[in-house]
Amino acid sequence: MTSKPVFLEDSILRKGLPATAGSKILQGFKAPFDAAVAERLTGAGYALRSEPPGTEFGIAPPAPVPSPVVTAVAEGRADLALCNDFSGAAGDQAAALGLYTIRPTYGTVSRYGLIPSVCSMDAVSVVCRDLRQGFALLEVIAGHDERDGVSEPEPSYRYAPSEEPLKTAAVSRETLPMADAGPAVMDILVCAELSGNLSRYDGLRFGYRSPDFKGLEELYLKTRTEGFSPETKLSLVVGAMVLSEGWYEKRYHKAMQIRRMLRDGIDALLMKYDVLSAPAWAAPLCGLPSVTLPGAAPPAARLVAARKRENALYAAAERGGIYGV
Amino acid sequence: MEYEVVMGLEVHVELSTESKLFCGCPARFGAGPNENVCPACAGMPGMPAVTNRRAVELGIAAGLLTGSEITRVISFDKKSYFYPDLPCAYQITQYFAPVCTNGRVEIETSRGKRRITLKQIHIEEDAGKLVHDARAGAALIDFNRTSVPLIEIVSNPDFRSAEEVVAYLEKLRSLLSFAGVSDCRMQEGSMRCDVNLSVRPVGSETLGTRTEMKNMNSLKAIAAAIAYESERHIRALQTGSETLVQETRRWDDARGESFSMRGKEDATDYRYFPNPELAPIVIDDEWIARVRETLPETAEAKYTRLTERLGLAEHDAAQITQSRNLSRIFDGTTRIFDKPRDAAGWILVDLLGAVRGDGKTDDDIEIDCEKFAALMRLVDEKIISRAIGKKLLIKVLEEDIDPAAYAEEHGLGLVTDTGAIGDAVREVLAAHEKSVLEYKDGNEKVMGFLMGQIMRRLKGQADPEAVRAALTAALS
Repeated sequence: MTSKPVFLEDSILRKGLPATAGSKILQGFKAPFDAAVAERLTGAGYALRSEPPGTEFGIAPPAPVPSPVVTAVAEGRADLALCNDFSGAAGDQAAALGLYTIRPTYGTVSRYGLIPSVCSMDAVSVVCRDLRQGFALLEVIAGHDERDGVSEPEPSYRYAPSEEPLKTAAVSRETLPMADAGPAVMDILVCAELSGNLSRYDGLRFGYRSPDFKGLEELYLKTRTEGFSPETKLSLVVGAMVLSEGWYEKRYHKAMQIRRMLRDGIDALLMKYDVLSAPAWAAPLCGLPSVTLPGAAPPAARLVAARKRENALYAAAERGGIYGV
Repeated sequence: MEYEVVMGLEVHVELSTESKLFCGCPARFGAGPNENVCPACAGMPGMPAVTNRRAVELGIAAGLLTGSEITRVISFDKKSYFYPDLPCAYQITQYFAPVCTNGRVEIETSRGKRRITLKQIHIEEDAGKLVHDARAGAALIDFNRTSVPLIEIVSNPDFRSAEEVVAYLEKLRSLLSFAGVSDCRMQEGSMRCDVNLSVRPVGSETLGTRTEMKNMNSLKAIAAAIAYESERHIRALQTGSETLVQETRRWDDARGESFSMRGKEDATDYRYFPNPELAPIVIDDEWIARVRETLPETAEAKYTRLTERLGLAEHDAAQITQSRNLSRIFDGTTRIFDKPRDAAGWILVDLLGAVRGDGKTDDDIEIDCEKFAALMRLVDEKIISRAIGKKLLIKVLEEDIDPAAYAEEHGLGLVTDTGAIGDAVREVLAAHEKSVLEYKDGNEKVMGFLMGQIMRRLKGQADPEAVRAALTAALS
């Protein structure tokens, strides 16, 4: 356990504190309740601090700005941070700053109290300098929560590299059919889901409202025009487009089909190997756990394992640290 | 040229669950504005949707009641549009995998039996309610109804007359309210019906231009709206008075007219897509069997039992089986008091008569069935008179008294003492000599009047048969 506070992105709700998700649209909004993750950490005696994320709703701008919570760990003000790294962008930033990012298996950490960006990929992830501290923190926050509709059933998890000794030291290179489509599939699905989740910010009930409007239509238009950044608006437009009549089949549905193929392909490889070094889209699209290793170059080296095999990742990441993979 | 009206119905029915479809808020009707609201149904971020399995069960029940195929893996989708009563700007519904498909409902009309086929039944969440406050010049939003679970029952275009539509809605109401799927109260909005209507020349196979009508709050309004709209269509086809367009129309019951709400050209693109927040739900045989076990006897089966086995008049059986509450009272009382025809009389004549003035519907009556049955038995065993029984019924309804104890305590037992009856007969005859003469002149109607006077003198506690015997003897 660390004596320094754990830094949380403010998209992880803490009752009474501002929850902006880095967006003007949530100006003035205060969380009405504690996220499951915050409850568990407070219960375990961790001190918490909240910071807005570096980018609005975690939507990466062209030049990624490190999230303040990642910077806090890099600068030694904290040993641990939690962020919603749905796309893997935060993992890249952390790696560039010499830090690990642990993304747990989808459904093992409760999303209760996490401001949703991309529901099928949202994952509270741990940024740490020390793997042992990181996995110890994950142990505190992981486990079933009935308040999350996709929560896995296990009440708790134990993470230790010795739990899953790696089968083999063999390393080989594999190719995956359709892998080239991975980034485009990510893009389509991220935009589509964002357009759904961000529709609720309409200026009526909470958050930012344009001060000057005539009628309902203008209230919607001005609030959302002024409240979102250009990157976010671009994502929302693309998202609405790929879901609209005529485009749904060609874009969203096709992306879902390829997602399934990619998942099947990676699952097949993970029957053969304990751990894969995989591109950034693999963990979010397939719901797999991943550890991003510290290292200068984006894209960072990213290890993924089969669902709920965090311990294989733990073992491999430790060894990777030793051998400098 | 002869025209025929072709209609399909979309019926929304609120499910009788304790809580809402995707959060823990109470789903009941009648709370103060925004009392049943939490961050989730107010559209605040951070509270994941979790499906209420009871709602799925009631959806399965609706499917079983309509002979539908139950879908084995169901999922929920997002339907996106901006409106103030929809806090998330998407409605969670079932677009790709509805819980039921291919059902049917048998109806009876003046032209015989007909089968209405159902395209599908899907589960979805309701929206909130906008209240326009003229004084404040503002629209107020009440989110109590937001996310209350609904099923939408979508029929095929099988209807040809308003009579069929009304018969179908009555049948659905009876089926669903009996099984506890919904209370189906049109006036409270827990049953709502949209009518898709088109008109074509008799014999034609192609459908005419279709309009959808909303906002009918009663069966009467639905029948009136259908009559108005079919006439408008036929007139347009015959005289070219207007060009029919595919559109949604709002029924104005006060004016007896329908008005265009929105046309097809500005139809919203709802951008349906699977809600990734909710895992698909598997419905296995075991679950379906469990739901089937919880289904009560259908109104139809009950009607047959009441008429054929228990010997009730068809009219009485129909009236009892149309109301879930009357059926419950009938079953509850006949379990103790084994004379079903007498019980039916007590319920349909005395009980309904006693509450009629209160403006209550059949479903609002609350009565302790055991006490009601005890009362029936007291009268049947001639421990109290029927007239006293009627008075005690009101006491049971209003004060929840125990009839036997109350009758004993207040000395309301039946007077069979021939001495007391004889005294009363003599006194009444002496006081109404004119009536006695009329009777002797052959006016038999006077008998009833004299009976009433004697019964009144005996405070309604006498056995009418004993009184009649004594009176007849005294008059002859």
